[in-house]
Amino acid sequence: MQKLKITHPDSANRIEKGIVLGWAVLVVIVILVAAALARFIVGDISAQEFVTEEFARNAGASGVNDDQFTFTDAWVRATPPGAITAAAYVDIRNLGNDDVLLAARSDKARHVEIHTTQEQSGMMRMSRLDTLPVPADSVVQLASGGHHLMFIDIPATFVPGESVIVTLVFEKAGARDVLFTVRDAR
Amino acid sequence: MSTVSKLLIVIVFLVVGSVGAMTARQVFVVDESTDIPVPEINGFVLQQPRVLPEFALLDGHARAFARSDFVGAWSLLYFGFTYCPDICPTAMVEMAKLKDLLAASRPDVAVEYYLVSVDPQRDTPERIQEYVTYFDDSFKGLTGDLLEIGKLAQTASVIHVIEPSADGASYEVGHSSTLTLLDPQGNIRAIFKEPLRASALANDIDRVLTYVEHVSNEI
Repeated sequence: MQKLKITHPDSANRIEKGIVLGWAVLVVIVILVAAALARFIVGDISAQEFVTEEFARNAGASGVNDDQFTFTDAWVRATPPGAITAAAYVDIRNLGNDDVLLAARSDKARHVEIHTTQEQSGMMRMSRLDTLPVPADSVVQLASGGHHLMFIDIPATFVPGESVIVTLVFEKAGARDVLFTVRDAR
Repeated sequence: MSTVSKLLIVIVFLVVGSVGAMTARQVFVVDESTDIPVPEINGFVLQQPRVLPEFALLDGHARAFARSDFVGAWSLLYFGFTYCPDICPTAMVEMAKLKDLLAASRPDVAVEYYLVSVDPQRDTPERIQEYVTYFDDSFKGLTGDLLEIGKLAQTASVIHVIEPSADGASYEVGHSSTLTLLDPQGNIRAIFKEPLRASALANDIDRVLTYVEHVSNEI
């Protein structure tokens, strides 16, 4: 026995190397199969996550947008129970040419209007604006007590933390989807 | 008596009289300067408390609410409506913050906070109760007949109008956005105007309370 081991050290070495190599190949195959399976199983979800992230990046939640518009501080006021309307606010920075906000829409309201609050004859009065100019190199603020987006006929209350997509339609630049966050202003 | 002496007496009388008058005037002026002046606030302090007329409203539990129900505590009244999406919720939020600030700075002063509806057609007692308690558990709502609301609103110099709308359901109500301060006798002492911000209001109300306390002590 001793002799055998001594006389065939090469072959023993080869067998050991073969086993190690075999295991390595097996591990690699298992990893590849697992990765493929994982990709197959969660492929859809990661694609969705990617879309959401990219959307959030483009849509304003983080304030980073396209070449022309930056949408920051986009939020909807959380509604008290039983509310039928809600107000939304956003800062629109226009780095491009003069443009005009023509309309807004969201699937969270029957319709969305551009409103303004102004003091008139001793009263605070809200009125609908047909359009809202967004001049070049300027920031138009939609903020409490001034211009705002008005959600009319909301099917459900807006819960803090919830995200709402609002499509803003500009005369020249076209439509932009902006991600609004519902905020509890209390 | 010589004419010179007569003249001297007249001069002495004149001098003494003038000095007396000046002293009296000085005393009077000094008195006035120790008086607390009417505080300058973002709004109006009424030097003559304005008495509310009798009215019949409903509270958030649909119980009758009359002028006498304001007696016993200071009251702050905001006139608005529950379907108001921008101005009223902002005011209610500030009122809730104001409540905390006043509770800390004036713990001895009892204050009740009210939303008085200018849209009773939609603001039922149940609805207004649900709305005000969303902002603070202790807030009270008042609603009722528009004419009765008008009596209170008019005295508080609040104007309100239902705006015409294309579809009747989602009309807006224009209204003065003010905060009315009633003393514990239920009389208007001050009216605060926009911007209604809690910290500034707490400061202004503190000064009005000090002023009213001082004026009451003098009487």
